[in-house]
Amino acid sequence: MSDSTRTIKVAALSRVEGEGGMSVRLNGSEVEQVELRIFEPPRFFEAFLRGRSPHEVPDIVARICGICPVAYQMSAVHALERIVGVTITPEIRRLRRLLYCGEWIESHGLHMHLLHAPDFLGCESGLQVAERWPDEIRRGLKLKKYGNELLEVLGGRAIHPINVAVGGFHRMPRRDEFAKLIPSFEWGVEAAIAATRWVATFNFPDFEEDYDFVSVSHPDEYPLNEGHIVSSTGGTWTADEYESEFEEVHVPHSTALQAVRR
Amino acid sequence: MSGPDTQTPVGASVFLSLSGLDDLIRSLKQSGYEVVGPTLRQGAICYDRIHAVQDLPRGWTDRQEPGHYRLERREDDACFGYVVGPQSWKQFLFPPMSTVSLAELSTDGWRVTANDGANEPRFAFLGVRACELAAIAIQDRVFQQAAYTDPIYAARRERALLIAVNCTQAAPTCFCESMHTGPRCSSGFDLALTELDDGFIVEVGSQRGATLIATVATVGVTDEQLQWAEERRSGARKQQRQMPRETARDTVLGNLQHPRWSEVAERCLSCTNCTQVCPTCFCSSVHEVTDLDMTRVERERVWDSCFNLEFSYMNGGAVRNSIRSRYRQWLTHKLGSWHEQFGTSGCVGCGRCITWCPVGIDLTEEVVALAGGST
Amino acid sequence: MAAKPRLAVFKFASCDGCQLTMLDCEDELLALGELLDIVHFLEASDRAEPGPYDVTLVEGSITTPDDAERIRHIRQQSRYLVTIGACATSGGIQALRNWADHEDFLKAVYASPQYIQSLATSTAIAEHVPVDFELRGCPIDKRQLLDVVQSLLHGRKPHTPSHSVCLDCKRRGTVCVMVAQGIPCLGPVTQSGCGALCPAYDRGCYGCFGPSVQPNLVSLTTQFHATGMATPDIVRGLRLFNAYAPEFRHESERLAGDRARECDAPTAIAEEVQS
Ligand code: SF4
Ligand code: SF4
Ligand code: SF4
Repeated sequence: MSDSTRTIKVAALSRVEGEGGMSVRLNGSEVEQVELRIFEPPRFFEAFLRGRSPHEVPDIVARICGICPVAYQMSAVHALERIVGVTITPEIRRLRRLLYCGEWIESHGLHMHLLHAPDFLGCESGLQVAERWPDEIRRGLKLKKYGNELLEVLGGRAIHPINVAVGGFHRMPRRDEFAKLIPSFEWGVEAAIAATRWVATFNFPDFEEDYDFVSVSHPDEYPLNEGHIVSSTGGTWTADEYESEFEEVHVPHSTALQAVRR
Repeated sequence: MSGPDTQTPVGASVFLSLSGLDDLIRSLKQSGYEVVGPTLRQGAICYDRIHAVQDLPRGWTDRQEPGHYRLERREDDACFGYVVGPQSWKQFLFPPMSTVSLAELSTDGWRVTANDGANEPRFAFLGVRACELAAIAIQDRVFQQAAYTDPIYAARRERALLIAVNCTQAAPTCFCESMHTGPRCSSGFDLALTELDDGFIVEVGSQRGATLIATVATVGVTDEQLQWAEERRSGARKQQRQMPRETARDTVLGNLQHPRWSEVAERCLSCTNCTQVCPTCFCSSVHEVTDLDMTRVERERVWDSCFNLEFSYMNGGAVRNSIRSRYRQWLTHKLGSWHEQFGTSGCVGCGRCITWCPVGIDLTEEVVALAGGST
Repeated sequence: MAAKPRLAVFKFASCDGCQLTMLDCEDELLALGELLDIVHFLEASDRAEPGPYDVTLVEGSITTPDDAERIRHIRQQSRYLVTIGACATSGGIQALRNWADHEDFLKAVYASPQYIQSLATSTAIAEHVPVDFELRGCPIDKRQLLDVVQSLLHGRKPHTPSHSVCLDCKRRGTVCVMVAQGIPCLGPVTQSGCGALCPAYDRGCYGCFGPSVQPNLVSLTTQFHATGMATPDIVRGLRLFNAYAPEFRHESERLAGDRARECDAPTAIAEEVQS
C-alpha cells in the first residue's frame, strides 16, 4: 500500500433505512473504489413466500420494510392480479394511489426533516435541527403525521396496513372517514410548499456523474403504481422486460443484491 | 285522533302509522334526544344513531345458532322483524370507555374534577325488547344501589327514553320465556310497540310516553287490531331453549367440582365475548393515563371481564388461574351468587352469549349437564 | 436535576417498522427528546455512543452468529432491556426458516450462499439474554410504546394487557367477523394491543400481537375445522409473524405433524450463566 492510498471506513451509516456501512479507497484525491456494505441480515422472503396463499402475500411482503410497506403491498397485489387476470375498478385504482400518497407524504416528511436535513445543516439528528429550526421541524412532523392519518383511514394503520387485498381492499373507507381529513390536507398543501422552499435554501453540492439512472415513468401522472421503466440514457422497457434487461448480482460484501443492466 | 289535551292514558293503546313513526323519530330529535335504534352494519343488526325510518333494517331478519349469526331477507317489509343483535343498550348506559375523573397540575397543585354525569347525553332508545328491559332493570340495581350510585350510569339512565318493541318471533337461541323476562314487554318502558302490516299498536307505559305520543298523529285501536297484535306476539313464544330457572342457582353453586367444568374449559377460549355481549355483565377496570410531562392524568374506566387472567390479579398472583375457574366464576356468578348480591338472576334469556361465542358454548346446555351429575 | 436517562435503540433482523413507531410519535417526539438523552439510535441520529444505557430498545431477531454475540454485549451495557416487536419477541416472519431447509433458503435467494453468514434459526432476543420487558406487535403500537417508556421513567408497571383481541372488538362495537361472516379469526387467542384493527376492516385477525395469555388454540382450530377450513390453511395462518411464539408454534406443529429446529446460536440463554 503506497503512502498516497488511504481508506475511509464508515462502520455504520446513520439516518438511513436499514443497516449498512461504507468504505472508500482513495489514491491521493482520486476515488479508487467504493463499497457499500449492506449487512442487514437476510430474512429470506423469496424463499418462504413459496407455497403461501396469494391472500397472505400482501401482509407478508409488507414486513420487508416498515418504512415503505405500501410499496411492497402494491407491487405484490399488482403482480398477483396480473397472474390471475383480475382488473381492478377505477375507484380501487384511485384509492390505492391515495394510500400510496399517504405513505409518500409520511416518508418524505420523515426523510426531509429527520433523516436528511441534519446532513445539510450540520446537525447530528432531527431533534438537534429542531433546536435551531423549531417551526420548520414542527411543520415537517405535522405533515408526516397527516400522511400517517391518511394511511390509517385507508389502511387501518400506518405501519403494515391491514386493509390491502388482492382485488381491492378488505373494507372500503367511508365518506365521513375521509371528510375529517380535509382540513389537515388543506393546511398540508401550503405547508408542503413552504417546506420545499425551506429545503431549497440548503446548500446542495454540485455533483454530476456520468451514470445511468433508472426509474419508472408514466405519461400522465407521477408513476406511483403504474408505468414503464426508463433510464437517463434513453432506454425504455416494459415491466416484463425487466428480467431480460436487468440482473441482480450477489457481491461478497453485501447481503442486498445489486441490480445492474445486463 | 288524540291531541295534547286528550293524552292517551298510561296503560292504553293507540295506532301509529309507519309515517307516524318517522314523525316520532323526528319529534324526538327536535326535543334534543339522540335517537338510537336498530340499523344494518357489518352483516348484523346493530344499535346505532338513526335519523329516520329508512335507517331501520326494513325487510331484514337474523338467523341465529350457537356461534352463528346471519342476516336474511324477510318476505315482508317489517321494521322490527329480527330478534336481538350483537349489542345491547348497555353500551349506551354503561359506555365501554369513560373518563371517570381528571387531575390537572397547576401552580396551585393538583385540581381533580370528577365526572358527575352532568354532560352525559340524552338518549331515546327505539326497539328495546322485553329481555332488554329486564336487563336494564337489573343494571339499575347494580349501578344505582343507594350508597354506590354510578354518576355516569345514573345520568344517562335518568335521561333515557325507552321505546320498546314486542318480539313477534324468537331465535333458536332465545329462552326469555323460561326466565320469565319476556317475550311480552310488561313494564319499564315509556312506549311499547307491536308491529302490524301497516303500522304499530303503541301501548303507553309512562307519563313521559304519553306526552311523547301526543306529539304525533295517532288513531284509536280497533279490537281486530288488538287481536292481530296478540297473534303476532304469540309468534315469539315458540322457544327451543330453556333454562331451569328454579334450580339453576343450586345447580351451579352445588356442583363446584363437577367434571363438566373441565370439559367446558376445553372448549372455552376465555375470549370474553359472552360477558361483553351480555346485557347485564358490568365488570370494568380503571386505570390512569398520563401525559408525557405528568401534569394531566385521566382516570379511565373500560369494560373488562372475569374471563381475563389479569382481572383476578391480586397481591402477587391471579386468583382464577385457569379457564376452568374463570368459566365457573362467570356461570356461578351469573346464575347463582347474583341472587345474593342483587336479588335476581343475572341472566335474562336473550341468548347473546350463545350466538356470539366463537365456539358456540351454550349455557343452558351446561346447566343441564351440571344438573345431570348432581342427581 | 439528575442527568437525563440514556436511551439506546438497536436493530437486529427486522424491517425497521418498530423503530419507526418511535419516530411516528410526531406529537410527542420533541418532548421525548427533552425527557431522554437519545445516545444511540442509528435510524435517527449520528450519535452512536457506547454504553452504559439506562433504557435499551431492541428491534429484530437473532439470525447471525455476529448478532448472537452483539446482543450479549448490549445486554451487559443496559440497565433495562426492552424488546420491541414480533421479531424481537418471537423471531418474526423470518422464523419460518426454523421449519425449513436452511441451505435451500440460502440458495433460493443468493447466487453465492458461501458469502452469507446466517444461522439456521431466527429466535427471540429472550432466548439469548435476559429481557426486562417484551412489547408485542408487528409493528408495536405507538400508545403502548409511549406507555412503556413513561413507565420506565417513572418506575411504574406498563399497562399492556394480555387479554384477547375480542375484548377490544366489543369495546369498539365491531361485529364479530367470525360469528356474523364466517371469517376465521385469531382474535380469541391473540393479545390485545392494536385496538382490534382487522375485524373493524371486515377481516380476521392474523395474530400480529402474538398469543394472548393462556390461549386455547386447540379449541379455536377445532372450530376452524368445523367451519370448513383445511389443516394446511390453519397451519399457514398460525405461521406468520409470530410463528415461533411457543403457543402458536406448538399448535401449528400439532396440526402439521412436524417440528421446528431449536435455537442454533452458540450462546443461547440456556447455557448463559447469569451474573
Ligand atoms: S416485529 Fe414486525 S413491525 Fe416490528 S420489525 Fe419485525 S416485522 Fe417489522
Ligand atoms: S372478530 Fe375476531 S377478535 Fe373480534 S370478537 Fe370475533 S373472534 Fe374475537
Ligand atoms: S387484529 Fe390481529 S392481526 Fe390485525 S392488527 Fe390487531 S393483532 Fe394484528
